[in-house]
Amino acid sequence: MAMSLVVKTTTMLVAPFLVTYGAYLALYGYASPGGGFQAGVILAVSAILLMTAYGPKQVKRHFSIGEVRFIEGFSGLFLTVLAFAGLVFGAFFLNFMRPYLPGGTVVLFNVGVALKVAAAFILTFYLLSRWVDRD
Amino acid sequence: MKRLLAVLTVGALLMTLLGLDYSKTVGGSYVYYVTHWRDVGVPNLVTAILADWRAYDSLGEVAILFAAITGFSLILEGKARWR
Repeated sequence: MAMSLVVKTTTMLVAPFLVTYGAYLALYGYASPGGGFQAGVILAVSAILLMTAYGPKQVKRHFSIGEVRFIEGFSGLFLTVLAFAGLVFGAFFLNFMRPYLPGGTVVLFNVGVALKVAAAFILTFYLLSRWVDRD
Repeated sequence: MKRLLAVLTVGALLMTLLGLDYSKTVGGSYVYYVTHWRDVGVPNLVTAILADWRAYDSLGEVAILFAAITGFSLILEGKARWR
């Protein structure tokens, strides 16, 4: 499914900026427009663009399906632990980290959601790309 | 017959939605959000609602995503049959 040289070069130039923008949206989503879901989708798009330009096999070699699955499960666990950690300090989803971090648990929650959404979308495309005939 | 039924259903839904009262309500959760905005310590009201007051919703969304991915890999995992 590899495309022409123009598409490959453009994708290679655009993908790092997409990752930077996704990280920015996740980290500063508490203060500016943005948030976890949008950041996750942009992070996933950078990998999906590389998959469509270079073919899924080459992307899977550098970013294996096991790593994606680990990130997906770990971020889900992290969000659940973050939700129940507030219970120790008094209430479910209590923002207990506000004195130590600007935004408190909101930033951590956004980062966790971003990783979760990105890993889920990339995993969906990885699983679907096994059924593609040509590579 | 099926098409007539679909048109009737969509028409009834449309009439119901058009008949709703969309005027701005005074009081309720809107006033609470605007007056207690500073308590959260987040300068973005949308994020304050989504990730602090209604973080339950976001956690449920994450659970839905996890369930979807689990079912997806359960069905599509394994050896590809047609290739």
